[in-house]
Amino acid sequence: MEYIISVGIDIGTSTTQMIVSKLGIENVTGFGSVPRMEIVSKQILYRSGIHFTPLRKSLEDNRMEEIDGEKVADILKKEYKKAGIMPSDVGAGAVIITGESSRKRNARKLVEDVSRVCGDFVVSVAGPDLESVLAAKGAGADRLSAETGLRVMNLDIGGGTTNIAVFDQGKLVDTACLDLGGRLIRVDKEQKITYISSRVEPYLPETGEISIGQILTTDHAKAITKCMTSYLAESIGLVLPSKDLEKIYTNHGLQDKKRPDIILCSGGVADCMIHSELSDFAYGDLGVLLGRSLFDSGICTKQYLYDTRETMRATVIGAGNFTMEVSGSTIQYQNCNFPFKNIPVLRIVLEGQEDILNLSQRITRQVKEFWQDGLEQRLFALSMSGLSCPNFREIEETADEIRHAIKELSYEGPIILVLETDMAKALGQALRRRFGHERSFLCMDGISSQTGDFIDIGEPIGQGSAVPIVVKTLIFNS
Amino acid sequence: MEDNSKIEQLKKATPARIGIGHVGTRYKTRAYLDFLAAQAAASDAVFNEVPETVVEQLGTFEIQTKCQDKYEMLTRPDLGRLFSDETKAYLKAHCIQHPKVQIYFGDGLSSPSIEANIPDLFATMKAGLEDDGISVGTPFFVRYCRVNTAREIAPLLDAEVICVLIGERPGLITDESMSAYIAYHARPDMLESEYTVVANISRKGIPPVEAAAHIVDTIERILKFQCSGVELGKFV
Repeated sequence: MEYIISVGIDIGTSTTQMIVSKLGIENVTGFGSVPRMEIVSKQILYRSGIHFTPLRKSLEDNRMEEIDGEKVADILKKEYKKAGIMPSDVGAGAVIITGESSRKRNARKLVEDVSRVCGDFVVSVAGPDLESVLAAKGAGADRLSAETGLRVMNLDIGGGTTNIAVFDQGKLVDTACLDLGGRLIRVDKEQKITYISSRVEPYLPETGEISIGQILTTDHAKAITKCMTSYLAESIGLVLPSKDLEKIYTNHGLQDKKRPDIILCSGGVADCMIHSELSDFAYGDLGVLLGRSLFDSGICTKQYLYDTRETMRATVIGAGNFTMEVSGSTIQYQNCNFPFKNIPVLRIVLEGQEDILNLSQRITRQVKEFWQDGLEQRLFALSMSGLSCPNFREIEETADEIRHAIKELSYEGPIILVLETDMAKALGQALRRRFGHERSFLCMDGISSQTGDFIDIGEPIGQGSAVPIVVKTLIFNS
Repeated sequence: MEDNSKIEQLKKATPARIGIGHVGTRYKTRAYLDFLAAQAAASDAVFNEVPETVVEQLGTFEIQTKCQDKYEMLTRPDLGRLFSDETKAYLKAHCIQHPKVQIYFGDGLSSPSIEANIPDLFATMKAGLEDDGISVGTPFFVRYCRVNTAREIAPLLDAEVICVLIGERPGLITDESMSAYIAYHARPDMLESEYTVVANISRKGIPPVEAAAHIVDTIERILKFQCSGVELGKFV
């Protein structure tokens, strides 16, 4: 078995956390079979402390808050030391900036700062949908659904946002993100309000206006969290909608309000649900009260978590353990300069034999549309679902079409093809016959991605029989 | 009635015959007929001959082992690996000598596997090997063929690597599956463990073109390390 050290870092609205895990990769097929590498074990080696995300007044506009990148870097440096790992040990992983943090002005720069400290590993930033999926996987919702065949919804209730993902029979079927969290209002020890997020507004009209400096009474806070709870219940279809739910959507709500069989809760607020001993404003925010309000409402029918202690850490575990995939049974590549980072994906329809016709024209058109300025030679990856059982002639024709497109575009960079069905090696060898042994290309299968995604591809593993891949859907919210 | 969608989901997870229902202690008619049909297809795959037209369409000639018919092939494995002197002379006269790689096809236990897989499998293998400057011998078809014909043919044509693409014992899921048995310097006294095998090549298993691409890589490794089978495993 081969091992890759993976680091997950989550910089959320309230907390910053890190985990270090060891991912075991092995050939899972038996004697006489074509090898297929899979991630077969995930062991968490180190869990960081849970730190409040350090904030500071924005340098450009002092009315705005931003994340204090230097302090974040300090926290991570110390945690690396405690974990006993060097940045150079890390082979995979992801930094994700979640919830309200991702809307802060300096989020993009922050990712760069952090990745400098943490090693030259695959770095990724989540959008609300990916964030929902990672949190749900970190909490174990996908496995619970696969094992039971039930519809499982995970609510990851954090400081700024609530990320929702729904799995049915183990498959992801829906995601949503709400501006609903425990840290939209912050208070000091005297319950004097020190921060009000603009996103808290929908929960206020019924409970009365609030302002900075004002004392937030416990009753008032309870009224706000009760309102949040009822918004949440309506958003996930437990109660018929009576409010304008659009107001609290970060990006969109659930497509299908079909009632889930099991609801899981993760995130900081979920942690507050099970710690009844906490004082009302233990974290200087609404988290504890929101947790209690949710608990009393009975929204969560069952607590099933990765490990009962991992409630808080669902997202960071998702980032560390579930962002990386391994390419499918076969790959073919030559002269590639690994790793590739942030390669934009263009999706081309190639599902049936008839799609091979005009493939070259369609590739050319899509690439030209994507790189409208045209002149610059930039990398891209072509994603195709692929033919389910292609014959020799179809492989040859597909390779011819790709060659025509590459010639037409005068593209000289590495040719990167991402296929879903098992045909990468045959197509790769057909490309080699056309381009010779010098031209750089990479052909892999077992990976699904869409236009608008970005992919990172790491160094080959398993004697060159597979590559680790991170498919990133959406970068930042807007 | 139970929730059918759950059963359908389970059925999708395996090609095995699960969730087929029953009437009393018996199968349902549909399941029973499907089972009989699959068993008949498997049996036919073993006993039917590969039609001469199929061999013609592959653009190759055919030779026959010392077996006289299917029955003898099944009951006398020893004859299924040997050739008459006449056949040997014919083969030698019709093939390129000293190829790096000699590839040929055998009916083995599944006649339909030849027509179903060889066109894509062989074309892809030949293109892949020749592209890397590896000479491929003259292909041919062996009737009543056992894997161990490789021990006779490799020395006869002086092939460095031999690869027989041969029909697998059929099951109830597919009757078109074939395997590739590959050996470095095959000879009559070689060990069984010197074969490298790629199995389950069919539309329902590893697609022939992908299997071919994998076999090309495997043959290149065999040439590089000058061994095959268990020995080769020590290098990877």
